[in-house]
Amino acid sequence: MINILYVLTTFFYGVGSWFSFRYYKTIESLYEKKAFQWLLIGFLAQGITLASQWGATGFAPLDRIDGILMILSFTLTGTLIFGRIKASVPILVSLFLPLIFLLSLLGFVENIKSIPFMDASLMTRGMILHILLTFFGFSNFTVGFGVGVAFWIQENQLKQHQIKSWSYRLPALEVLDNLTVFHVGFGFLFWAVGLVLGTMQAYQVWNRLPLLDPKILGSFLVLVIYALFFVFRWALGMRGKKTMTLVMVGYFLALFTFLGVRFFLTTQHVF
Amino acid sequence: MKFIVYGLNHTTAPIEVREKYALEQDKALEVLRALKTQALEGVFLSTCNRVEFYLATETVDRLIEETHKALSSIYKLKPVDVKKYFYCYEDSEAFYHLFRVASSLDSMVLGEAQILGQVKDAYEGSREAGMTGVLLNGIFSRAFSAAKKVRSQTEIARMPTNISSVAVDLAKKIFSSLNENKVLILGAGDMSELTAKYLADSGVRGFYVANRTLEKAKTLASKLNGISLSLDEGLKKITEVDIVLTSVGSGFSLRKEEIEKFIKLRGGRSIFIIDMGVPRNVDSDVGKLESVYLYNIDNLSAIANENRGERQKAVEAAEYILREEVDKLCNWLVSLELVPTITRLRDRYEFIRDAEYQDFLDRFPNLPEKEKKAIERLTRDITLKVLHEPTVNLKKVESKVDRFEFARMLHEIFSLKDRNDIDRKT
Repeated sequence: MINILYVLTTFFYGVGSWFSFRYYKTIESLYEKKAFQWLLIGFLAQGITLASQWGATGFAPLDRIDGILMILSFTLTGTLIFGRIKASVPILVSLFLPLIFLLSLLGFVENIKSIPFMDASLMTRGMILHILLTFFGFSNFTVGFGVGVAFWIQENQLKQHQIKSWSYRLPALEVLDNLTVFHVGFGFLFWAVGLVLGTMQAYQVWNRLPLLDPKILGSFLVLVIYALFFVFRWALGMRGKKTMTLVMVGYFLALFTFLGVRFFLTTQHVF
Repeated sequence: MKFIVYGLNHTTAPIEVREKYALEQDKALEVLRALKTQALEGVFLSTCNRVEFYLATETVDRLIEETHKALSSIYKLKPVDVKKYFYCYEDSEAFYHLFRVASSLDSMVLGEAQILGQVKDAYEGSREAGMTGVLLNGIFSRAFSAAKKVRSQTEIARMPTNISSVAVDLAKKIFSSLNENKVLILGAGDMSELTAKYLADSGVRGFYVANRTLEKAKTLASKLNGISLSLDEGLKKITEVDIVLTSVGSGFSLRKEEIEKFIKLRGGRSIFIIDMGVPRNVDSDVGKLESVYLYNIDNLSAIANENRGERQKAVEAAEYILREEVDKLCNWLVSLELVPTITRLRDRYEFIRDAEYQDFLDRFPNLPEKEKKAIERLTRDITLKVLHEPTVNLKKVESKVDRFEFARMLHEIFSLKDRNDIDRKT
């Protein structure tokens, strides 16, 4: 049953991705609407998938790679839907839907292996909430980063007086700027609360907070960088590339903390 | 029946000839009515660059003669004088020409937006006057959707090609909504006025006009519903406006240090400076400041030229789309011919009969072979008899237009599909 739901979710995102590509090619709003509709259907199917898994095991499927990937694509989709409704920027869905599809596809492939890597006893409510919030934070940083890159490209072209034909698909700088602030702001909030909950979990499990653990250190540094982004913008009135550079640095650090640490460094975190 | 395009355009006739044929819609309908005996349906298109008749006829040569007679009687022109400027395309060539015209591939300014509206108006005028029927309605509706496809799927009309439009387009790439933006115009020159009008058309409502001569500033400000200021007062407005448009005469120059003090007070908000002045009014280093986007006349011209090149590059893709659409149109026209329609109607009935017969056999698998054959023959005979009378009546229809109309109705009522589609279903 879960497998069928995985397939359906991936299929829905796949169809949405196809419409995204069509939209990117033609800029016909009909395709964007279709892509968004399929994104919503995929989100619903994925919600049911995750709820079914949660119901079957009693905890969110965060103890397995497929669950991690599915929840990551789920939080990313939620973030995207939120951003799309808030800012009404058509290109946003088209930019990220293929990534969501890819995550979902990887989740489906991993689901076939179905190997838990985390002790189920660790799956307390606090732990689940800690992971979910950091996932939502990371998803917002991802969208903020994508929009920031679009801002960077657009600004660069405007400054250099080299306007490429494909850049007419991008929204105005002001829209991209506001959207970056919006997603980075929400990401910051989720990430910060997630870290507080993570700290509480650390005290429960290890009786201390290993500050030098690369994941924990990296996570706090991410917060510092994004905090600097807001300080530079609001207190010093800085805009443009300089502040966008911070968004990018913050995101790469978040990405490394989120995925890279596990592969390149030693951490006490299971994932 | 043939579909023809007969007319002249900017590539075949000089303006002195074109202007003689620039007809008002009511006069155009008069010409079409005069051709009614030869042309079964007709649309007349008249723009500053072309004069064209789109006609459905069974007698091409006579119709062309009649067209010249009708035009000559209205304008008192000698037909022989102008015939060399006219072209005539028939059927698929004519479809292709109409599709190119509607998609603005045949326009003097490639990708211009007005032509589609002009073709639509011409068609509507003829339709309301009862001069179009099933053929031209079908052809023109396909021409409009083909043009829409070309505009949306290629770069043909996406990027502006005149300096003022480029400036407005750049403003739209910086600001989310021009309705909320304020514009400062330094120097009330012609170029500033034109660009300001484009900005006003795009939604900008707040204008400040500053000029050395206050009277000139007042004149332009009144046209734009803006506020007139002296040049010094205008400079102070840089702190609050979003777009600055300068075209002050020689002797006026804004250095980086002068502007920087105003920019610092803006709290990082973006500012778009359009320097239309020759010699330039704004130091090029100003463009290096954070959140300042500076464009001079050369930068705008370069983008306009590049956009023209992009449009040219898009022609091939656009023509590919049009060729596909013309093929579809030709298939549609063939499908409306009598014989294919009858064949499809029979296929449709045969498909239903066969499906029902198979369903019946599934329900009664033990039926003897002899009875099976008898039932199959019975169902086939019923189908043939049901279709016999409509087929005979359809063949009796003499007017080709009526045949088209009947055939079209049969297609709609019975959802007639291509034989291959039916084969695929079975």
